[in-house]
Amino acid sequence: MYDDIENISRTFHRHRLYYKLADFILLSLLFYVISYYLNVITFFSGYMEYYVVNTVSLDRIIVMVASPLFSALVVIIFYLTKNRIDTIEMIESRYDWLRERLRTAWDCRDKDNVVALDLVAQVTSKLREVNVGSFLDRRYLAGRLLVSIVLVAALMGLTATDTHTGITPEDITRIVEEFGTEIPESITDTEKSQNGGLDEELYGETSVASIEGENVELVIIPGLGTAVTIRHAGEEEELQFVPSQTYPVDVVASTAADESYRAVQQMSSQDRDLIKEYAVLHSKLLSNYSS
Amino acid sequence: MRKDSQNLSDAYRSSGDTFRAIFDEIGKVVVGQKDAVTQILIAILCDSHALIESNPGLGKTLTVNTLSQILGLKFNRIQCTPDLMPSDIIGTYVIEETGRGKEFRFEPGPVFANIVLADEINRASPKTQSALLEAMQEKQVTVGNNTYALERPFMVLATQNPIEMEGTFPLPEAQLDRFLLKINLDYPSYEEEKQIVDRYTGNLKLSIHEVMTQDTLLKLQGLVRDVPISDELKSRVIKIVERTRDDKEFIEYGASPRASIGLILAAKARALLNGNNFVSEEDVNEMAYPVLRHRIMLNFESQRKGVTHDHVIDKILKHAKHLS
Repeated sequence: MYDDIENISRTFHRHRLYYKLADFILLSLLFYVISYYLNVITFFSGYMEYYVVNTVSLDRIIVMVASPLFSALVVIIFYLTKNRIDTIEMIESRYDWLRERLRTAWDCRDKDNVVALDLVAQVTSKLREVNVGSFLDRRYLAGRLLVSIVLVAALMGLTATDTHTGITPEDITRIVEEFGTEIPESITDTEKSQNGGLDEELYGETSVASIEGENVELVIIPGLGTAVTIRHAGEEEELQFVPSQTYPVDVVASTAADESYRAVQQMSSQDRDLIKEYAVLHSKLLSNYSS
Repeated sequence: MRKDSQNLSDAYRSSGDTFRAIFDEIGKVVVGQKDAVTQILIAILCDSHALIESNPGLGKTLTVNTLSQILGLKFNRIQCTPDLMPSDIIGTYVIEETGRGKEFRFEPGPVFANIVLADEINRASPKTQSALLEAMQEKQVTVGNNTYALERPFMVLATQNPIEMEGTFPLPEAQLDRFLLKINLDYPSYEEEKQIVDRYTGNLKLSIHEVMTQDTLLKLQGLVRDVPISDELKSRVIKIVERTRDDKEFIEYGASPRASIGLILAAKARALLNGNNFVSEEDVNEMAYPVLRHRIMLNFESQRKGVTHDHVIDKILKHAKHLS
């Protein structure tokens, strides 16, 4: 009985190997067809100058090797998560008479009493009637073969007509970037800011963020530097202006003239003289027009 | 040794015919009660004891007496009463006058039989109960300084009347555990009662024949332990018994590991009785009820809701389907 079970078990493992092979071939073809159609080869365009055996470019080789590798990984993971083959359970599911008897005989195969020996003898004789070939799922294999043939035909059609999708790798990168977390340049590039302390580029339209499920507006009020005020979306906050005690609002001068003066002071004396001369000429022109 | 194994093999091969003959013979005398007869036989085959709970007049004594005759075993009946003394059960020394003068002679009690029917054991005092229970456990009795072994096979069938519990001494749980099975006898159906009436109100003389010898019965008791059981079923039995300890919804106290041993043994005996050479899930499920019902103590909640032991065992078996 032990030898019979071992032989049957070996056959079941061989059947599973056939299933794995069929899945591997099908998935490899599928990944290659998808890669071909989606122009995945252009990702490796840097290698197109290199040839293998002077006939096939390296970028094509990379795609051809990546597909079965990826397929192998998927097949390995899939079959690792599958239950181990239980030979006894598989036989019992198909042969009613052997249900419970086979499991009991197997568990008690080392017992040497008249009842256990009688059970083992009966089970051994019934095991010889088990048709192991009937356990092979021919429909499963036929299905995989059919789909593989279809994929081969599809690949031949695509290569013959050189059909590709309009999507390029740059499009894919752009899509990823749009959905990614990349911050716009105007915020991160502080070198472009010409203000000593205040970054006026931070000001912009009110944006809405979602914090803990609630939509809130992020508003940066001018004049408060980088402080952020959070108010719930839809609320209208009444802004109250409190006059400063140090600098009365109505007498605060614009900083623009101050900034221009500082810029001029940093120039060379020749440039400063030129600007002065221009300013004088301009004012004379304006006075001539007004009179 | 070779002859022994040959005899054992012969006993095994003829066991199916033997059991069929037993049921045929007992059917001549006892009407119905097939489940009860099967369970009594299982207790005998397991070399253990059984507790029968039934109303009066359901043929307990008749059944056990008939079975003893069929199996070629000596049968004694003890009617337990509150004034029954331990010596009334196990025996005592009597003074006998012989040629040499007066001598003490041991007079064995009714416990010295192969099958002992202790009727209404809950009426006997705890002291008398313990004397009987000691004989059950040790398969021997001690009187004074002498120990007397009981003849094998030895089996005690104790009965309890469920309707007259007042003024009785119910067996404590620790002692109940010693009985392998608790057998419930129910009233016969209309057809069965009609047959009983016809059989026992006429002049019909019933004769039964001995179907097996003591020696054959001892061999069959050995064969029961040889019946193979799968590891999966063993695990299921242990999980069932464990569940009686974990389920606190209706159960106050669950069964001990003795229940696991009892359930596996009883399932093996049932398999052999049915002519099988392996233990099936059906054997375990069927034997769970008589093995567990006296080992589980229900809580107040179950009594309030009218939940019986069999309901609880049913629920545990359904849950056990998902465990294995």
